Order: sequence, then structure tokens, then C-alpha cells
Amino acid sequence: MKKTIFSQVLTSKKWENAQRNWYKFSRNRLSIIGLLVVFIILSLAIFAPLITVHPEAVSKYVNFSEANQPPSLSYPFGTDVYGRDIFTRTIYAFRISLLMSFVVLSISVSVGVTLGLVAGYFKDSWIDILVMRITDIFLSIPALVLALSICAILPRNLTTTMIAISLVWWTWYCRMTYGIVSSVRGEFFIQAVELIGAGKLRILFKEILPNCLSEIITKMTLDVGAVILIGSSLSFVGLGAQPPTADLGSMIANGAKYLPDLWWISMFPSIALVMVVLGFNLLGDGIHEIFKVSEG
Amino acid sequence: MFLNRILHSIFVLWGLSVFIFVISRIVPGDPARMALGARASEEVLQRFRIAMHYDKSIVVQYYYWFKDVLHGDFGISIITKHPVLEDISRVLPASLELTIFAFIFIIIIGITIGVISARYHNTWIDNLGRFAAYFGIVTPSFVFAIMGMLIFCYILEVLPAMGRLSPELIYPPKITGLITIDALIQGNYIVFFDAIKHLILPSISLGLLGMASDARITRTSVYNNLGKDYIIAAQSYGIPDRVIMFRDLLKPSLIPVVSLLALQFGSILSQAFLVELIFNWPGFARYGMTAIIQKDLNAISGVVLILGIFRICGNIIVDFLVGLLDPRIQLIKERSE
Amino acid sequence: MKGNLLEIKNLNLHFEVFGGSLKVLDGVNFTVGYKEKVGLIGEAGSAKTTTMKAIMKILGMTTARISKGEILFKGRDILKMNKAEVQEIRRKKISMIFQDPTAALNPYFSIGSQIRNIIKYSVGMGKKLTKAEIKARGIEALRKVMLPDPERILNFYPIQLSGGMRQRVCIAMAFLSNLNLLIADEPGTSLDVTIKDQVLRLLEDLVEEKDISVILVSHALGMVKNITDRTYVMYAGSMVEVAKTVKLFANPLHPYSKALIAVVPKLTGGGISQGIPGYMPEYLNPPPGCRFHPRCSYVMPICKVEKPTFFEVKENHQVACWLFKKGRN
Repeated sequence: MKKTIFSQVLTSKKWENAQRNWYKFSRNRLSIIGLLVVFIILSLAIFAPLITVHPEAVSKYVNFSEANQPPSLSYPFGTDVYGRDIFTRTIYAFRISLLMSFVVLSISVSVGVTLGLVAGYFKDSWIDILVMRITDIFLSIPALVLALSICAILPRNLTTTMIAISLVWWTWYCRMTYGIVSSVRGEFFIQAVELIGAGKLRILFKEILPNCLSEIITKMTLDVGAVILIGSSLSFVGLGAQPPTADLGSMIANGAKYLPDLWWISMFPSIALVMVVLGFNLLGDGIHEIFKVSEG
Repeated sequence: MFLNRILHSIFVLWGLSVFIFVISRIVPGDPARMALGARASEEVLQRFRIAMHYDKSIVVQYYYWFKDVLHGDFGISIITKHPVLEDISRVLPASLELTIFAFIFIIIIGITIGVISARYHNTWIDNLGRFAAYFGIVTPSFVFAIMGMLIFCYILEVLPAMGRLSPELIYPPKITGLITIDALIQGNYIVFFDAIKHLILPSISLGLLGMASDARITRTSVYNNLGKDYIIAAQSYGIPDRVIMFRDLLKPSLIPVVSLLALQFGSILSQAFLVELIFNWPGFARYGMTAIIQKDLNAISGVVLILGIFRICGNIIVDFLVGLLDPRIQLIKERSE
Repeated sequence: MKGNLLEIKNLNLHFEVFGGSLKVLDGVNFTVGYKEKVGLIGEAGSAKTTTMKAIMKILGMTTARISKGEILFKGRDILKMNKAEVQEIRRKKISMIFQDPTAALNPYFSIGSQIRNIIKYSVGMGKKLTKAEIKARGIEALRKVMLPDPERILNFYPIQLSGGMRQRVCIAMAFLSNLNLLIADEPGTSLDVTIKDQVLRLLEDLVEEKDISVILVSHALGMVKNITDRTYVMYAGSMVEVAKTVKLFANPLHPYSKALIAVVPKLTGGGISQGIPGYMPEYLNPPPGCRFHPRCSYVMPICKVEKPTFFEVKENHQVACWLFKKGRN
């Protein structure tokens, strides 16, 4: 039989690893559900303009004749006090949430992991002490409070909120990476590479970093949900994306005033929020399964 | 070892104070104008500035600020016009009561669910517990609070929605500041039960995440320890499962949970900011929240610093507790001395 | 006494894992008579410990499933017993000493509290023992295993004891009840040589004194030779040979036993053997027929297809090998 590239791929170690990982992942039905939910939400967010019928709902639109409608065929989630379709707003709110996680995680992971690598590798040097003390200081204040405080002094918009959350978030990755690097650093293979004379940068990124990757990736997936949570907490109190942009937290806050009569204004964004966080958490757990070393 | 810890904590607190100070001075706007109002004259403003050392360099300002803080003087709150410290001591007990109740829920419900889940692992009981824990983790406290309010306050009408006490009742004389304890001391059961009713929904909202995480961690910890050789050995001696569960398993399994509790203390204080707002709870967090929204810098500094202190104390307490649970730590220390 | 104390008949046990199941125990047949001391030898990985754990039903957290077979204790099948009956056996009839004494002791509780627990639920079940009585029993148990200053040791945590002392404590715990059967799983493996010697002597004395049945699992053949009356050889999940210990060591018949016993260097000369080529089979896809056939120098066609049962070669000497069918040598 001719060795086509296709068959070579199918028999290669990487494919076998991928299959094994898929097995570990799919053993738990919940992980599959998580993957599905995330996939659906991502699709909804990306294809938002194609799905929604009332694109004006996310702009400065007012139509009091349609206001305060309960869920119906034309308005699946009902309308809010301004007459805007809540379904549309929820879908667009997904975009904001996902954008927020993406930006925040990009910044905090890159900064946090790098600092953690450096601090952990040059253990007991001034870099180590400086970085870890700063991390300790940041960590001594609860995350939400710190984010709130930072937002308090900056102008109120989505960008500043994202910056505030990033400033809070990097510390977790720094500390986690630091812990892993500290323990890996003493291993023999690192000493071996050092003896050969490999450059510090290479050691950091090619030898040590792969050991941290599994934990980092797991945490990142779980953190998408966490960032969305903290983001919606902030927008609940008026920070984050400003009106008329739709954001889950602010939608819930606005609807809270009209409980229990106009229950749909708060209810659907709440369910949507829970779904998003749930999806990413399940997915994160599934990914954790892949990296977990199973006992015999 | 403890000395090291304390020194470390002191350093962190100091760093925190610098951080807070820097933040509060970065804010644009004229602090004198903000404090005295739009109608104050320039002369008054200038006198204010000199008295507050705003004209000096930032390092000097920090020195004066720090000195005041050490005396407990955080300045005057722009909103209440009272000293911040006085404000804080007024609002703190309410939050403390809420936090304690939340912790009670967390420990009792969270850990119990975790243990039961692990005991009946991979059965429907376990799945139910894990499912519930999951929802506890993904549901933000404010969503739960709002939904809870909707269901229990408006639809079922079993629980009150706002505040610490029904409007027709009077606060008991303040001994601890905790309505429940004060009412009990007085023997005033009506107030006591009313206060409890008001506490249920907010505490559960606060403790939701903690309950869920603890349930999971306990379950994992117990599950891992179940496979340990000493558990199998205990089984081989014929010790009943119930006894093994609550004795041999619980002790080691609690260690990661206790460590987590310290972290959760911080998250509870965080969530309190939202929950107190929703339930109109006259607490420390709502005070802080208002301060943040209205940029009351003195108040913010006070709140953040107190939070930091709580957090650090929490860590020290946890270290102490873990030392109690795990005899090896103390013994290893002794060996090396 | 008539009959056997313990009889394992055709026990099949597998673990469910990724990609299938580990068919670990493949028709195990094993008997222990009253007051008989039986050895069980075999390489690491031959599933000796798993068999022992199956007897006491302490397979714990693993995904173990028993598909076929019986474990008869005094004529009754343990696998069919309810929880209470199994507990009764664990408390009063069978005790086990584990391979690693450090792992077998709960590091978070003092020795005294662990012993107290055992006494309360094993020996003390039904009787009301006072705290003083329990403590006295504990001290006596520790004294029996030659531990100096037992009262102080009751207050110690496992981490404060040396390896040898921990093993003695485990032995003491095993002897707390009036057991019929002691299962000793590789006692002394984790100890250094001089301590190991002391501990094993202690074990021998205790067994003598109590006159009980013993299953001694070990891959230290010298120990087995000294203590046991009869010995089984186990390979990859089933018994391949059983005989009176003296006879077995003098004249092992199964190809595996021959190689195994030859591995021990003898003072009478003859050099050091070459060992056995090949590896233990993996349990996921074990070789069909006789599991030893890939490594056997005497392999025949039938070995690859059908699994041999025990054939009686001489009196009380049985071999599971097609070479010995119908008593031919």
C-alpha cells in the first residue's frame, strides 16, 4: 500500500496522542456538553448580525410602542423599557463578554507567565523578591475590589475595565507559573541543559515553559468563565461597556428594578450568563482530564 | 517561622498602603475642590491645601498620610462628612454578621455535600451533588441574589427582600453589633428570628461560590484519600466505613479545604460589595461601594486597607489551622531544630 | 480439622481501564489449610497482592470486577456474603500486614489512637471496654512485638518512628484480634537487611505462638523456604505450581518455577543463573493459552492455544503445565 501523507498522519504518534486525548476528554459526557455550549455561543457571537432580526436593539434606539413586551414570537426574549429586543441584545452581549475574556487573558497570561518564569528561574535574586512581593500585594486585596478601585480612578468605558481586570488577573498566572518553575528548576534535565550552555531565554521558553503549559491551558479555559463573571459584576454596577452597548451585567442590573413584573429583562441575560460560564467551566474540566495523569 | 510570616505580612501591608496612596493621588481633579464643594472660595481652598499638605511633594504627602493612618486616621469621607474610621466601625458589624453566616453555610453545606459525594462517588447522589456544586460555581452571586429575590420574596413571599430587619422592629441595644447575638442576649426572640430571616438569602448568595468550591475540593480530596493505603488498611481491620469516613478521611481531606477558606474569605468580601447593594444591607461593603462610585478617596483607602488586613490575618489563621490538622508540619519543624 | 480454612476457586478478576480491561486474575486456585503456612512466590507484577486484597475484599478505589470464581472461607463464599459478615471476617478472622508500613499507617493520627480504634471495632465489638482497658491492650500488643517503651510509643505519630518500628506496629495491629489467618504481604521489603531479619524472626515467633494459618507473599525466596509448609508459584495472574516447600525448592517442575528458583545463588556453587528472558505479559492483551508460553523454552503448540490446569504429578505436588499432562515427565 502506498504510504500517502494521509495514512502517515493517521498512524503518526501525534494522531494517536490526539485520539487518546479525545478519549480522555470525551469520557465525561459533561465535557462534551461544555464543548457544545461553547461552540454554540461562539457561533452565535460571531454570526450575530446574521441571526438577529432587530439589529437596532444595540444602538440608541427607542420605540416606546414596543416597550415592555413579554416574550413572543417576534421578540423571543421580550423587549426592555426602551422597546429593544432583548434576544438581540443578549447575543451581542456575548460578543462583549468574549472580547473581554480574550483581551484580558491575552494580556494577563503573557505578562503573568513571563514574570513567573523569570522570577521562578532566577530564584532568590532581586527579580524574584521584587516580582513576588508585588504579586503578594496585589493578591492581598480581593479581585473584585481591586478591579473596582482601579476602575474608580479611570474613565468609565470598556477598555479601562479590561485594563483593570488584566491588572488584577496577571498575578494568578504569575504565582502559578512561579510555583511550577520553582519545582521544575531543580530537576536534572534543566541542569543538564544549563551545562551544555544553552542560553537563558531558550531554557526558559523551550524547556521550562512546556512543563507549565498543561496547567496554564487548563486555567485559561476555566478563566474565560471567571473573567466573564467579574466583568459582568463590574458592569452590573455600571462599569464596563457603557450604554447603549449591550452587556449581560448591565442588562441584569437594569432589569432588576422592574422585578417581578417585567421579569424577562433580567431573567434571560441571567440564564445566558450562567450558560456561558457553565460552558467554559465544563470545557475547562474536560481539558483538565486530558492532562491529568491517570492512576493505573 | 511565624515571625517570618508576620514580617512578610507587614511588608505586604506597607506595600498596599503605598499602592492605595498612589492610586488616590493619581485621580484627576482637585481634591480640595472635591472636599469643600463648588462654592468654596479660593482662599478657603488654599488654606485647605496647605493643611492637607497638597502643596508638598508626593513623598512628603505620603509620610503625613501614613502617619495619620497609623493613628487610625483615614481622613474625612466626602460623602458622610465623618471620619472614615468612625464610618467603618459603624458599618463593619453588619458585614461581619453577614460574612459569619455565609461561612456557616459554606462550612456546613459545602463540606457535607463534598463528603457525601465522595462517599457515594459515581452514583446518582454524587452526580446530584456535583451538578449542584457546578451551578454554585457558575452562577454569579448577584444573579443568584436577584433570582432568589424573585422566587422567595416576590413569588413565594417567604423571605423579606431588603435590609436587616423588618421596618416595624427596633434594633436591639448594640453590644456586639450583630443583631442576632444582641437579640439573643436580650432574650428578644422576635427580633432574633426576623434578623435570621433577613440573613438567609444574602448569606447564601454570598456563600454560594464558597459552598460549591468547597464541595468540589472536599470531594476531590476525600476521593483521593480514599485510595490511600492506610484507608485500605483500616478497612482490613474491619473498622466500619462510617468511622473511617469521619475520622481517618476527614482530617487529611480538610487540609486543602481549610487553605481554600482563607482565599474564600477574600472572595466573600468581594461579593459582599454586590450583595449588600442588592439587598440594601447597611454594611462595610456597601459603604465601600458607594465610596468607589463617588470617588471618595479617603474612604476607599480605608476600605481597601482594612480588606488587606483581613485577608492577611485570614492567611495567618489558616496557616495555624493547617498546622493543627497536619501533625507532620510541627514534628518536622521540631526535628530540624 | 476437616476441610480447608481458605479456598479460592477459579477466581477471575479484571480492571476496567482505557482501551479495554486488564485481565489480571485468570482462574486462580489457591487453598490454605487450618494451621497451615503457605507461601506465595512470583515476580513483581504477578498479581499476588491483588489476590490477597480480593480475599479481604479491600480492593478499594480501583475499578476491579470479579467475573467468576469463589473465595471460600471455612466453607462459605466471601464474595456472596453481606457487609456485616465480611466485616466480621475482617475484624476477627483474617488480618493483613501490608508491604509498606509507612503507607499503611495514617500519618495524621497517633499510634495510640489508631490502635484504640482497631480495638474498639474489632476485638472490643460488643463488649464495653474502658479507656484504661483499651490502653492496656494496646501496650500489651506493642510489647509483644518487642517495642521498647510502649507507653511512649502510643503517643507518637508514625513519622516519629523508624521503618522497623513502623513494621512492628503494623504487626502488632494485625495480631490484635484472635485471628485464624494472617496474610503477610512482602513483610520486610521496605526495611534494611538487619532490621528485616529481626522483624521476620519476630513474625515467625508470633506465628508459632498463635498457631495460626499464614499466607506469606514474597519474592524473597529464602524467607519463604524457612517459614512455610507449602508454597505456590504464581505467574501473570494464575498459580502455576504448588508443592510442599521443601519439595518445591529441591525440585521445581514448572519451567517458570525452575528459572525462578534457580535465580537465587546457592552457596553450593553452580554460578549465578542467567535469569529469565522476556518480560511479564501485559494484562491488556495477555497471550492466549498458557500465559508463560512466549518465554518458555519448552513451549509446545498446545501451550499457545489452551490454558493448562493443575495436573497432579506426585502426591501434593501439582503443576499447571502441558508438559506434565497425564503424569508424564
